[in-house]
Amino acid sequence: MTHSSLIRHRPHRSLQSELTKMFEIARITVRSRLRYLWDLLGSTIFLAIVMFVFVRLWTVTYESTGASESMSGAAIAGMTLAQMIWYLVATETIIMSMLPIHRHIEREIKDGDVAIRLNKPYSFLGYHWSVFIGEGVLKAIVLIVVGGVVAIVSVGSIQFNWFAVPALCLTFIMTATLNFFYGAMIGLLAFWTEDISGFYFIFDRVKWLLGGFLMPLTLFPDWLQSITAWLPFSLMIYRPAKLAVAFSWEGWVDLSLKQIGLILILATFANGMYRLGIRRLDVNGG
Amino acid sequence: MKLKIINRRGGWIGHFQFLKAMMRTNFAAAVEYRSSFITQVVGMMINDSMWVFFWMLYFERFPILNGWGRQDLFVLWAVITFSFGIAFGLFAQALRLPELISQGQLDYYLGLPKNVLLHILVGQIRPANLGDLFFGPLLLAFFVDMNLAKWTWYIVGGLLGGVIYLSFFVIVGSLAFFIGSSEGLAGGVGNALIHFSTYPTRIFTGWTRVVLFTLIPAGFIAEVPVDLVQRFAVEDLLTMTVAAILFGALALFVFHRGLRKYESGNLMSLRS
Repeated sequence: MTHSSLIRHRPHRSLQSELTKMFEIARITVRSRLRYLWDLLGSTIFLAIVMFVFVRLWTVTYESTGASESMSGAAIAGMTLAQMIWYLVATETIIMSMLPIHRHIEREIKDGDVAIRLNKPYSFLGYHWSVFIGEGVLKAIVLIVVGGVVAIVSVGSIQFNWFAVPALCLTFIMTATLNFFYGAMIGLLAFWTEDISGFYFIFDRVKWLLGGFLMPLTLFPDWLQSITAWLPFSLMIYRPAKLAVAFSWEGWVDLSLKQIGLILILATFANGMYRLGIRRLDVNGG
Repeated sequence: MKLKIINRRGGWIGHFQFLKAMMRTNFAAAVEYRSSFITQVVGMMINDSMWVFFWMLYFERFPILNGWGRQDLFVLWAVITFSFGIAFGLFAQALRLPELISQGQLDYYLGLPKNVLLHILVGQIRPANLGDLFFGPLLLAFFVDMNLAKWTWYIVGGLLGGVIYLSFFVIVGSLAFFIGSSEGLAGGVGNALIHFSTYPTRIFTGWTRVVLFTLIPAGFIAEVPVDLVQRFAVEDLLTMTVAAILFGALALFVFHRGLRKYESGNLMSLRS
């Protein structure tokens, strides 16, 4: 039986049963990672170092422009120093909570493990998405705590709308989903090329830079801001992070609608790549 | 067969010839997978370009950062990528040292007549970091006003920076001899050094600066070489040379002291 016929002859699965399976996979992932909580906490030390460097960089920057907090919270590009640091806590949380999904998928394709998932009662991308979200949520909680402590100690707290927490949780899930499909598409390139690390560097760093990972897009020159407005990367980093530090319901609705649209597009592309790629798969043995 | 002849020679010349032969073999092995090699090298160069682009955007908005301008940042990135490329493009196995020690995989090297540490370090090259090695000089050539003296100090500073990077990773990697599994610790501390060295250390003050010139020597890798190239002073050259010698000596000391505590993994494996 060929792989494509395996796919064709899969029994019909209802949306509800798919969602139940995905939820269970995510739950198992969380429980499994909780066993290695100390290892998880250890890895967040790096976030503390990153945040410390950012705090120094932006403190010096704000001081040099005369817009430091001592001047009654004067702002650069619409952000006070405290907002800038909390914005960076948010961007770091988004990026550092993500599993290197491209590497996982690449390894499965190269090792032939992708074939093992063909006869399992769940979809390949659905399985990886569940693991990605499960681990991402757990990591995000730890990262927010560590990053938040650094931010409070160095620049203090900012005004935060606690009623927006459920909405922001949803935004995190959608942001993670966008980043998942983007990373999965890079990983799926392994069906066609022997090494994807070059592609990863290019696509991931473009996302970092034009997504506002290192600094808010409002600090970019006008010509670049007009380009980033047409690109999807701001929906993956900048806008969710900005929403976390300056929440508004209008902003949330607008972002959510755009994110849902982009998720549908990326999911369709990723699924298409998987279906095309799986036809090229040759597996020997049993 | 050629390696056998070289192995019988001792001293510095013998070590150098061994190094040369291993490098040649490593390169031949790496370029065997040509497209993978090229993608990794080019990919890393693009990665570095993105960081430089970030700094270009930053300096377009804020032209001066604690006395440093855009050209200084270009030199910083040219130096650290060059140093990093030398250290981990050519001696990539330094990054695997804690894993090799904790899993008892040094047996192979102990049974051979060459210097154990040197043999481990030259065991592998990393094409992605060779991209760093090429990126540094290209960045200078295209974006910084250079002359012969500046190129000389750039290469000297980059080489000394490479020695410090490598020595630091050997030191933290050798902790595995003493505390068992230290991959997490070595990775964390190593990442801290890399991260600190990619930012101008002039933004730090007080005790942080003391740490950056002692425990995590990012200042020697990032700040001093930039001063060497941009505002040469003999004191900077001496300081950096002494730092490289001290870190190198400390790495040798810690590794060899730790080697006495090494316990074999009793691994039966064949290497081709």
